[in-house]
Amino acid sequence: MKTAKQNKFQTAVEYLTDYSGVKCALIADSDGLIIISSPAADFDGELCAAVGLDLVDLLDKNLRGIAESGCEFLTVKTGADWITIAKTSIFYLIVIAERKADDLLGVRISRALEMISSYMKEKYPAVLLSSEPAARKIEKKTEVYNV
Amino acid sequence: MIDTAELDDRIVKCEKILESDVNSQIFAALAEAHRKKGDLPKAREICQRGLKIHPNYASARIVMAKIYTAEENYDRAWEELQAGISESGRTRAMDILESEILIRRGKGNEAKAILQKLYVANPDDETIKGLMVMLGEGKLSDSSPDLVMPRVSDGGRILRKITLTEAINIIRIIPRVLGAVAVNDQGLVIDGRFDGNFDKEEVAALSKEIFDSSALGSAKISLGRTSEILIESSSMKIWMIGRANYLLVVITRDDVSMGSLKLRIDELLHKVEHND
Repeated sequence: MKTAKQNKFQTAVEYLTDYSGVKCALIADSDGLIIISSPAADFDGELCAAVGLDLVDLLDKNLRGIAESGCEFLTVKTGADWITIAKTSIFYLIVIAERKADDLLGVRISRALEMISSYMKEKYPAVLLSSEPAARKIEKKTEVYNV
Repeated sequence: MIDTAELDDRIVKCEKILESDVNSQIFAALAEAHRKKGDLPKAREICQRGLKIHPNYASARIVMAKIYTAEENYDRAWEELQAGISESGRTRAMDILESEILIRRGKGNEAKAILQKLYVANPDDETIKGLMVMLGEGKLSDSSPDLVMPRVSDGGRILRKITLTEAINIIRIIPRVLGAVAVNDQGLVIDGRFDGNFDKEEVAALSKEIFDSSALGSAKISLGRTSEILIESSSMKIWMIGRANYLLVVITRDDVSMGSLKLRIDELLHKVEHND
Protein backbone atom coordinates (compact mmCIF):
# COMPACT_ATOMS: atom_id res chain seq x y z
CA MET A 1 0.00 0.00 0.00
CA LYS A 2 1.31 3.44 -0.89
CA THR A 3 1.93 6.00 1.82
CA ALA A 4 0.24 9.39 1.72
CA LYS A 5 3.59 10.95 0.76
CA GLN A 6 3.98 8.61 -2.20
CA ASN A 7 0.41 9.29 -3.26
CA LYS A 8 0.93 13.05 -3.36
CA PHE A 9 4.19 12.72 -5.25
CA GLN A 10 2.55 10.15 -7.51
CA THR A 11 -0.20 12.66 -8.31
CA ALA A 12 2.44 15.19 -9.36
CA VAL A 13 4.32 12.84 -11.70
CA GLU A 14 1.14 11.36 -13.16
CA TYR A 15 -0.15 14.87 -13.82
CA LEU A 16 2.91 15.23 -16.06
CA THR A 17 2.77 11.87 -17.80
CA ASP A 18 -0.92 12.49 -18.58
CA TYR A 19 0.28 15.22 -20.93
CA SER A 20 0.74 14.31 -24.57
CA GLY A 21 4.36 13.61 -25.48
CA VAL A 22 5.65 13.07 -21.93
CA LYS A 23 7.58 9.80 -21.72
CA CYS A 24 8.58 9.80 -18.09
CA ALA A 25 8.47 11.94 -14.95
CA LEU A 26 10.29 11.15 -11.76
CA ILE A 27 11.26 12.64 -8.45
CA ALA A 28 14.74 11.85 -7.17
CA ASP A 29 16.77 12.95 -4.20
CA SER A 30 20.16 14.64 -4.46
CA ASP A 31 21.91 11.25 -4.58
CA GLY A 32 19.87 10.19 -7.59
CA LEU A 33 17.70 7.82 -5.58
CA ILE A 34 14.26 7.66 -7.14
CA ILE A 35 11.42 8.57 -4.77
CA ILE A 36 8.68 8.00 -7.32
CA SER A 37 8.37 7.71 -11.07
CA SER A 38 5.70 7.45 -13.72
CA PRO A 39 5.54 5.21 -15.63
CA ALA A 40 7.14 2.83 -13.14
CA ALA A 41 8.79 0.31 -15.47
CA ASP A 42 9.02 1.57 -19.07
CA PHE A 43 12.05 3.78 -18.65
CA ASP A 44 15.45 3.45 -17.03
CA GLY A 45 14.71 6.15 -14.50
CA GLU A 46 17.74 5.42 -12.32
CA LEU A 47 20.18 5.95 -15.16
CA CYS A 48 18.29 9.02 -16.22
CA ALA A 49 18.35 10.48 -12.69
CA ALA A 50 22.05 9.70 -12.32
CA VAL A 51 22.99 11.33 -15.61
CA GLY A 52 20.68 14.31 -15.03
CA LEU A 53 21.99 15.01 -11.56
CA ASP A 54 25.60 14.64 -12.73
CA LEU A 55 24.85 17.37 -15.22
CA VAL A 56 23.22 19.60 -12.60
CA ASP A 57 26.25 19.08 -10.38
CA LEU A 58 28.57 20.10 -13.20
CA LEU A 59 26.41 23.13 -13.91
CA ASP A 60 26.40 24.21 -10.29
CA LYS A 61 30.20 24.09 -10.28
CA ASN A 62 30.62 25.84 -13.61
CA LEU A 63 27.90 28.41 -13.16
CA ARG A 64 29.81 29.95 -10.28
CA GLY A 65 32.02 31.41 -12.99
CA ILE A 66 29.07 33.07 -14.71
CA ALA A 67 26.15 33.51 -12.32
CA GLU A 68 26.01 34.17 -8.62
CA SER A 69 23.58 31.31 -8.03
CA GLY A 70 23.35 27.71 -9.14
CA CYS A 71 21.11 26.03 -11.68
CA GLU A 72 17.43 25.82 -10.70
CA PHE A 73 15.90 24.73 -14.00
CA LEU A 74 17.69 22.90 -16.77
CA THR A 75 16.22 22.02 -20.15
CA VAL A 76 18.19 19.96 -22.65
CA LYS A 77 16.75 19.48 -26.13
CA THR A 78 17.95 16.82 -28.52
CA GLY A 79 16.73 16.03 -32.02
CA ALA A 80 13.84 13.91 -30.74
CA ASP A 81 13.43 14.60 -27.03
CA TRP A 82 13.71 17.13 -24.29
CA ILE A 83 14.63 16.65 -20.68
CA THR A 84 13.83 19.08 -17.89
CA ILE A 85 15.45 18.92 -14.47
CA ALA A 86 14.06 21.22 -11.79
CA LYS A 87 15.18 21.63 -8.23
CA THR A 88 12.45 21.69 -5.63
CA SER A 89 13.30 21.88 -1.94
CA ILE A 90 15.44 18.78 -1.33
CA PHE A 91 14.32 16.88 -4.41
CA TYR A 92 14.69 17.03 -8.18
CA LEU A 93 11.86 16.67 -10.64
CA ILE A 94 13.00 15.12 -13.93
CA VAL A 95 10.73 15.07 -16.96
CA ILE A 96 11.51 13.45 -20.30
CA ALA A 97 9.26 14.33 -23.21
CA GLU A 98 9.22 14.07 -26.97
CA ARG A 99 10.61 17.15 -28.69
CA LYS A 100 7.22 17.67 -30.33
CA ALA A 101 5.52 18.19 -26.93
CA ASP A 102 4.45 21.82 -26.91
CA ASP A 103 5.89 24.51 -24.68
CA LEU A 104 2.79 24.44 -22.46
CA LEU A 105 4.41 21.45 -20.83
CA GLY A 106 6.41 24.08 -18.97
CA VAL A 107 3.21 25.20 -17.26
CA ARG A 108 2.49 21.62 -16.19
CA ILE A 109 6.01 21.28 -14.83
CA SER A 110 5.50 24.43 -12.78
CA ARG A 111 2.20 23.12 -11.45
CA ALA A 112 3.80 19.78 -10.55
CA LEU A 113 6.58 21.63 -8.74
CA GLU A 114 3.96 23.58 -6.83
CA MET A 115 2.27 20.33 -5.81
CA ILE A 116 5.56 18.91 -4.58
CA SER A 117 6.55 22.14 -2.89
CA SER A 118 3.22 22.66 -1.11
CA TYR A 119 3.22 19.09 0.11
CA MET A 120 6.76 19.45 1.38
CA LYS A 121 5.90 22.77 3.01
CA GLU A 122 2.93 21.20 4.74
CA LYS A 123 4.81 18.12 5.80
CA TYR A 124 8.36 19.34 6.38
CA PRO A 125 8.33 23.14 6.82
CA ALA A 126 11.79 23.26 8.43
CA VAL A 127 13.37 21.57 5.43
CA LEU A 128 11.83 24.08 3.05
CA LEU A 129 12.97 27.01 5.12
CA SER A 130 16.54 25.99 4.43
CA SER A 131 15.97 26.07 0.68
CA GLU A 132 13.81 29.13 0.36
CA PRO A 133 15.28 30.34 -2.98
CA ALA A 134 14.05 27.24 -4.81
CA ALA A 135 10.55 27.71 -3.46
CA ARG A 136 10.63 31.39 -4.43
CA LYS A 137 11.68 30.48 -7.94
CA ILE A 138 8.71 28.13 -8.33
CA GLU A 139 6.33 30.86 -7.19
CA LYS A 140 8.01 33.34 -9.56
CA LYS A 141 7.83 30.97 -12.54
CA THR A 142 4.18 30.29 -11.87
CA GLU A 143 3.47 34.01 -11.81
CA VAL A 144 5.18 34.40 -15.19
CA TYR A 145 3.21 31.57 -16.74
CA ASN A 146 -0.05 32.93 -15.33
CA VAL A 147 0.35 36.37 -16.93
CA MET B 1 31.00 37.38 -14.36
CA ILE B 2 28.15 39.56 -13.09
CA ASP B 3 29.66 41.98 -10.65
CA THR B 4 26.63 42.22 -8.45
CA ALA B 5 28.88 42.62 -5.41
CA GLU B 6 30.15 45.90 -6.84
CA LEU B 7 26.62 47.04 -7.62
CA ASP B 8 25.43 46.04 -4.15
CA ASP B 9 28.32 47.96 -2.65
CA ARG B 10 27.41 50.98 -4.75
CA ILE B 11 23.77 50.71 -3.68
CA VAL B 12 24.74 50.59 0.01
CA LYS B 13 26.98 53.65 -0.36
CA CYS B 14 24.35 55.61 -2.27
CA GLU B 15 21.65 54.70 0.26
CA LYS B 16 23.86 55.90 3.12
CA ILE B 17 24.41 59.24 1.40
CA LEU B 18 20.70 59.53 0.67
CA GLU B 19 19.83 58.70 4.28
CA SER B 20 22.07 61.47 5.55
CA ASP B 21 20.77 63.92 2.94
CA VAL B 22 17.37 63.17 1.46
CA ASN B 23 17.86 66.01 -1.05
CA SER B 24 21.08 64.55 -2.45
CA GLN B 25 21.36 64.05 -6.20
CA ILE B 26 22.90 60.64 -5.52
CA PHE B 27 19.43 59.15 -6.16
CA ALA B 28 20.27 59.03 -9.88
CA ALA B 29 23.32 56.83 -9.25
CA LEU B 30 21.25 54.66 -6.90
CA ALA B 31 18.51 54.24 -9.52
CA GLU B 32 21.13 53.44 -12.19
CA ALA B 33 22.65 50.73 -9.96
CA HIS B 34 19.22 49.17 -9.46
CA ARG B 35 18.60 49.37 -13.22
CA LYS B 36 21.87 47.59 -13.92
CA LYS B 37 20.89 44.90 -11.43
CA GLY B 38 17.65 44.47 -13.35
CA ASP B 39 15.34 45.77 -10.62
CA LEU B 40 13.46 48.18 -12.88
CA PRO B 41 10.46 48.91 -10.62
CA LYS B 42 12.77 49.93 -7.77
CA ALA B 43 14.98 51.97 -10.10
CA ARG B 44 11.93 53.76 -11.51
CA GLU B 45 10.50 54.49 -8.08
CA ILE B 46 13.78 55.96 -6.77
CA CYS B 47 14.37 58.02 -9.89
CA GLN B 48 10.81 59.37 -10.03
CA ARG B 49 10.96 60.32 -6.35
CA GLY B 50 14.29 62.09 -6.84
CA LEU B 51 13.09 63.94 -9.92
CA LYS B 52 10.26 65.45 -7.90
CA ILE B 53 12.94 67.20 -5.83
CA HIS B 54 15.38 67.81 -8.73
CA PRO B 55 13.26 68.12 -11.88
CA ASN B 56 16.09 69.84 -13.79
CA TYR B 57 18.73 67.21 -13.08
CA ALA B 58 19.63 66.03 -16.60
CA SER B 59 21.56 62.90 -15.56
CA ALA B 60 18.51 61.61 -13.70
CA ARG B 61 16.37 62.22 -16.79
CA ILE B 62 18.79 60.06 -18.77
CA VAL B 63 18.64 57.30 -16.16
CA MET B 64 14.84 57.53 -16.32
CA ALA B 65 14.99 57.26 -20.13
CA LYS B 66 17.14 54.13 -19.84
CA ILE B 67 14.72 52.59 -17.35
CA TYR B 68 11.73 53.26 -19.63
CA THR B 69 13.69 51.86 -22.60
CA ALA B 70 14.38 48.66 -20.66
CA GLU B 71 10.66 48.50 -19.85
CA GLU B 72 9.91 48.97 -23.56
CA ASN B 73 7.96 52.15 -22.79
CA TYR B 74 9.60 54.06 -25.63
CA ASP B 75 7.28 57.08 -25.62
CA ARG B 76 8.05 57.86 -22.00
CA ALA B 77 11.74 57.12 -22.64
CA TRP B 78 11.68 59.67 -25.45
CA GLU B 79 10.07 62.34 -23.24
CA GLU B 80 12.65 61.83 -20.49
CA LEU B 81 15.56 61.87 -22.92
CA GLN B 82 14.37 65.09 -24.55
CA ALA B 83 13.96 66.67 -21.11
CA GLY B 84 17.55 65.68 -20.31
CA ILE B 85 18.88 67.04 -23.59
CA SER B 86 17.09 70.34 -23.14
CA GLU B 87 18.59 70.70 -19.65
CA SER B 88 22.23 69.94 -20.41
CA GLY B 89 22.73 69.68 -24.16
CA ARG B 90 23.75 66.62 -26.14
CA THR B 91 26.42 64.05 -25.38
CA ARG B 92 27.49 61.00 -27.39
CA ALA B 93 25.73 58.69 -24.91
CA MET B 94 22.53 60.69 -25.33
CA ASP B 95 22.80 60.47 -29.13
CA ILE B 96 23.22 56.70 -28.94
CA LEU B 97 20.24 56.34 -26.61
CA GLU B 98 18.19 58.68 -28.80
CA SER B 99 18.94 56.65 -31.94
CA GLU B 100 18.00 53.42 -30.17
CA ILE B 101 14.69 54.86 -28.98
CA LEU B 102 13.98 56.22 -32.48
CA ILE B 103 14.61 52.80 -34.02
CA ARG B 104 12.37 51.12 -31.49
CA ARG B 105 9.65 53.71 -32.20
CA GLY B 106 9.91 52.92 -35.92
CA LYS B 107 11.55 56.22 -36.91
CA GLY B 108 14.43 54.81 -38.91
CA ASN B 109 15.23 57.87 -41.01
CA GLU B 110 15.67 60.08 -37.97
CA ALA B 111 17.82 57.43 -36.29
CA LYS B 112 19.89 57.07 -39.46
CA ALA B 113 20.89 60.73 -39.47
CA ILE B 114 22.17 60.51 -35.89
CA LEU B 115 23.86 57.14 -36.38
CA GLN B 116 25.72 58.23 -39.48
CA LYS B 117 27.31 61.12 -37.59
CA LEU B 118 28.13 58.86 -34.67
CA TYR B 119 29.64 56.23 -36.96
CA VAL B 120 31.92 58.72 -38.70
CA ALA B 121 33.28 59.85 -35.34
CA ASN B 122 33.40 56.34 -33.78
CA PRO B 123 33.70 53.70 -36.54
CA ASP B 124 34.79 50.97 -34.09
CA ASP B 125 32.04 51.47 -31.53
CA GLU B 126 30.20 48.14 -31.27
CA THR B 127 27.00 49.69 -29.90
CA ILE B 128 26.78 52.05 -32.86
CA LYS B 129 27.49 49.21 -35.29
CA GLY B 130 24.81 47.09 -33.62
CA LEU B 131 22.27 49.90 -33.92
CA MET B 132 23.15 50.36 -37.59
CA VAL B 133 22.61 46.68 -38.24
CA MET B 134 19.35 46.82 -36.32
CA LEU B 135 18.30 49.80 -38.41
CA GLY B 136 19.12 47.96 -41.62
CA GLU B 137 17.26 44.85 -40.54
CA GLY B 138 14.30 45.77 -42.76
CA LYS B 139 11.70 45.73 -39.99
CA LEU B 140 11.23 49.47 -40.13
CA SER B 141 8.88 51.19 -42.50
CA ASP B 142 11.32 53.97 -43.33
CA SER B 143 14.67 52.22 -42.95
CA SER B 144 17.55 53.72 -44.79
CA PRO B 145 18.45 52.15 -48.16
CA ASP B 146 22.15 52.97 -47.76
CA LEU B 147 22.31 51.01 -44.52
CA VAL B 148 20.62 47.93 -45.93
CA MET B 149 22.92 45.00 -46.65
CA PRO B 150 22.94 42.86 -49.83
CA ARG B 151 19.91 40.61 -50.26
CA VAL B 152 19.42 37.07 -51.48
CA SER B 153 16.28 35.38 -52.69
CA ASP B 154 14.95 32.30 -50.89
CA GLY B 155 12.02 30.73 -52.73
CA GLY B 156 10.46 34.08 -53.47
CA ARG B 157 11.07 35.33 -49.92
CA ILE B 158 13.61 38.10 -49.72
CA LEU B 159 16.26 37.57 -47.09
CA ARG B 160 19.08 39.86 -46.14
CA LYS B 161 22.39 38.15 -45.55
CA ILE B 162 24.11 39.04 -42.33
CA THR B 163 27.32 37.92 -40.71
CA LEU B 164 27.55 36.14 -37.38
CA THR B 165 29.10 39.29 -35.90
CA GLU B 166 26.13 41.36 -37.06
CA ALA B 167 23.72 38.80 -35.63
CA ILE B 168 25.51 38.94 -32.28
CA ASN B 169 25.42 42.74 -32.34
CA ILE B 170 21.65 42.61 -32.86
CA ILE B 171 21.10 39.93 -30.22
CA ARG B 172 23.05 42.03 -27.72
CA ILE B 173 20.65 44.94 -28.00
CA ILE B 174 17.46 42.91 -27.67
CA PRO B 175 15.78 44.00 -24.42
CA ARG B 176 16.81 41.91 -21.39
CA VAL B 177 19.69 40.25 -23.26
CA LEU B 178 22.96 40.65 -21.37
CA GLY B 179 25.18 39.35 -24.11
CA ALA B 180 25.93 36.64 -26.65
CA VAL B 181 28.99 34.73 -27.76
CA ALA B 182 29.67 32.28 -30.58
CA VAL B 183 32.06 29.51 -29.57
CA ASN B 184 34.07 27.17 -31.81
CA ASP B 185 34.78 23.45 -31.35
CA GLN B 186 37.76 24.17 -29.13
CA GLY B 187 35.73 26.37 -26.77
CA LEU B 188 37.31 29.54 -28.12
CA VAL B 189 35.45 32.75 -28.89
CA ILE B 190 34.56 33.30 -32.55
CA ASP B 191 32.83 36.55 -31.69
CA GLY B 192 30.92 37.87 -28.74
CA ARG B 193 29.50 40.91 -27.04
CA PHE B 194 28.73 41.30 -23.38
CA ASP B 195 28.48 44.25 -21.10
CA GLY B 196 31.37 44.81 -18.71
CA ASN B 197 30.11 42.26 -16.21
CA PHE B 198 31.00 39.14 -18.20
CA ASP B 199 34.22 37.70 -19.48
CA LYS B 200 33.31 36.27 -22.89
CA GLU B 201 36.34 33.93 -22.93
CA GLU B 202 35.22 32.45 -19.61
CA VAL B 203 31.58 32.15 -20.75
CA ALA B 204 32.72 30.45 -23.97
CA ALA B 205 34.94 27.90 -22.25
CA LEU B 206 32.42 27.04 -19.53
CA SER B 207 29.53 26.81 -22.00
CA LYS B 208 31.44 24.49 -24.28
CA GLU B 209 32.25 22.21 -21.34
CA ILE B 210 28.61 22.20 -20.21
CA PHE B 211 27.34 21.51 -23.74
CA ASP B 212 29.81 18.66 -24.30
CA SER B 213 28.98 17.08 -20.92
CA SER B 214 25.29 17.30 -21.70
CA ALA B 215 25.84 15.67 -25.08
CA LEU B 216 27.67 12.83 -23.34
CA GLY B 217 24.86 12.45 -20.78
CA SER B 218 22.14 12.52 -23.45
CA ALA B 219 23.93 9.78 -25.34
CA LYS B 220 24.12 7.63 -22.18
CA ILE B 221 20.34 7.68 -21.82
CA SER B 222 19.79 7.28 -25.57
CA LEU B 223 18.31 10.72 -26.08
CA GLY B 224 20.32 11.56 -29.17
CA ARG B 225 22.46 14.55 -30.02
CA THR B 226 22.01 17.64 -27.84
CA SER B 227 20.82 20.62 -29.85
CA GLU B 228 19.90 23.17 -27.18
CA ILE B 229 20.35 23.73 -23.48
CA LEU B 230 18.49 26.26 -21.35
CA ILE B 231 19.78 26.87 -17.85
CA GLU B 232 17.76 29.00 -15.47
CA SER B 233 19.16 30.41 -12.26
CA SER B 234 17.48 32.87 -9.92
CA SER B 235 18.89 35.87 -11.76
CA MET B 236 19.49 34.85 -15.37
CA LYS B 237 18.97 32.43 -18.18
CA ILE B 238 21.75 30.90 -20.24
CA TRP B 239 20.65 29.55 -23.58
CA MET B 240 23.07 27.44 -25.64
CA ILE B 241 22.17 26.70 -29.22
CA GLY B 242 24.23 24.13 -31.12
CA ARG B 243 24.75 24.96 -34.80
CA ALA B 244 26.78 23.12 -37.43
CA ASN B 245 29.93 25.24 -37.05
CA TYR B 246 29.55 26.92 -33.70
CA LEU B 247 27.76 27.04 -30.37
CA LEU B 248 25.81 30.24 -29.74
CA VAL B 249 25.47 31.20 -26.08
CA VAL B 250 22.97 33.89 -25.12
CA ILE B 251 22.73 35.18 -21.56
CA THR B 252 19.60 37.05 -20.53
CA ARG B 253 17.93 38.41 -17.45
CA ASP B 254 15.57 35.93 -15.83
CA ASP B 255 12.46 37.88 -16.90
CA VAL B 256 13.11 37.65 -20.65
CA SER B 257 10.31 36.28 -22.84
CA MET B 258 11.85 33.11 -24.23
CA GLY B 259 9.21 32.69 -26.94
CA SER B 260 9.86 36.09 -28.46
CA LEU B 261 13.64 35.75 -28.06
CA LYS B 262 13.58 32.35 -29.77
CA LEU B 263 11.70 33.75 -32.77
CA ARG B 264 14.18 36.60 -33.19
CA ILE B 265 17.26 34.44 -32.78
CA ASP B 266 15.94 31.75 -35.14
CA GLU B 267 15.35 34.42 -37.77
CA LEU B 268 18.82 35.91 -37.31
CA LEU B 269 20.59 32.55 -37.42
CA HIS B 270 18.65 31.66 -40.55
CA LYS B 271 19.98 34.84 -42.17
CA VAL B 272 23.51 34.06 -40.99
CA GLU B 273 23.34 30.57 -42.46
CA HIS B 274 22.27 32.02 -45.81
CA ASN B 275 25.47 33.99 -45.68
CA ASP B 276 27.74 30.94 -45.13
